[in-house]
Amino acid sequence: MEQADGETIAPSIPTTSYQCQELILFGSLRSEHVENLEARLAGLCDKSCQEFQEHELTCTLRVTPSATSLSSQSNVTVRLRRVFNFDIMNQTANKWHMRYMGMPEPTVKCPVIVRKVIDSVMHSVNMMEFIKALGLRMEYEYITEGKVYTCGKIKIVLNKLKKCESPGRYDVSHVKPFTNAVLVEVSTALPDGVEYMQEAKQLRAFADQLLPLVKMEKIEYWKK
Amino acid sequence: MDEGCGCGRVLCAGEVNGRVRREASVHRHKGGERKIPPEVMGVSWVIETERSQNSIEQLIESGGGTKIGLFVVDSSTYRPVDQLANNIGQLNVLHHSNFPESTFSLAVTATNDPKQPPPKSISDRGFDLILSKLSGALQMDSSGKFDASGTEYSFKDFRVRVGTVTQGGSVKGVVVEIEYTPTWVANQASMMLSEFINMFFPEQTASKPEIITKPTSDLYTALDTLNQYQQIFNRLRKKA
Repeated sequence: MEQADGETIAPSIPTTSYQCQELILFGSLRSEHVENLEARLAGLCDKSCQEFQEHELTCTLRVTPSATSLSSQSNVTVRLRRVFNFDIMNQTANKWHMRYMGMPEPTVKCPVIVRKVIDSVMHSVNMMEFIKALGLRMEYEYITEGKVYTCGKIKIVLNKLKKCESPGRYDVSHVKPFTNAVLVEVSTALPDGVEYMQEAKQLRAFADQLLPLVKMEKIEYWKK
Repeated sequence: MDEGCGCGRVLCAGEVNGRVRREASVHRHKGGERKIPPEVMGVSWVIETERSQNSIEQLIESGGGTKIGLFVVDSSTYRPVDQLANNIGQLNVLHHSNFPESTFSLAVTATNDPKQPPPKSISDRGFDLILSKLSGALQMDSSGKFDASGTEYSFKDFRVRVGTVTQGGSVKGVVVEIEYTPTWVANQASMMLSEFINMFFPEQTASKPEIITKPTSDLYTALDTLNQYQQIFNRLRKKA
């Protein structure tokens, strides 16, 4: 019945297929040990793994509290990703993945982070101007490269983060490794509004199989 | 294409580029209830006319066009909130029933520098949902929503869409979109479109959009069609 309700939305509002609940855990390990983790993942996961190199911009809409708006809205963050080392001929530089992540749900019992995510794939010849026109401002950017593994519904991403020392310049001399660590993310995406506890437990159980190589945690990154 | 692109909806870059069209309807209509071939998109010329929708439909039918269905184009305006009104301009978000999974966004910059092309993008419909999260900057002006809906005709290599434009229930005018499908290079389609317009709408020959007259061989995208619709909606809004 829930689904039927979902479909009665006015036609101008898209269906919720772009919106999902993401269950996620984070961990990190030193890059010299990543080979051991890769070997473990090769044993646990689906056969193929994919390498990636992507450029991410984090943009924020600053909401200034005003007397007229009673609601205490907080700043909104939107992430933009594209393939790094883009191919000018194929215009991959103009293809972006825009992602909105909501605040994590306050679930004490749930063993993983649960947050709402909205994805959109976009093409724009002038994305930076477009972002400005939405009222967004870039906060920071980084390059991430690594590998993605899948194990059924579970996605495992190994990220090596690199910082861009001067904005807008992405050649080798301006891109430096951030730390000597690899950021590990394990996540599952579920349709919006479904019960997630069982999947959360499965994700936790999977993450525990990576011990003692890497400890996956429910990091409360939103607390400063 | 026929086997389904196997691309998964979200990552279909073709759809985002606006060059693979009717992805959804082709899949849906595989049974073939609508006898239209799977096609790539062409180049369109959108006109606003004083004539009634009925009279144009009769004209097209008598000329040999066959009715193939209905079409809808809608345009919503998002206005910046007061605090940001000096920094950003309004954003027009459009949808076209021929590209059911796409959202077309055209921004109007606050500075309005004619040298800078206005910011624009083609995205999937997830962007509409993200936009609703940005209500701290842009809020939908529901009174400014335009809809154009009507009938779509197939006419050899042309597709003709005749629709009535309404704003909040009141009729504002009639638009006709003439699409020449065999090419997506704008200046290749230019002559064919002129000939068609000459034949059916001789009073409109002078209104040829810049995008078609430009001598460059830039590829035409669906965004250029939606931009023409938006220009017409802007004119109709001023006409009041």
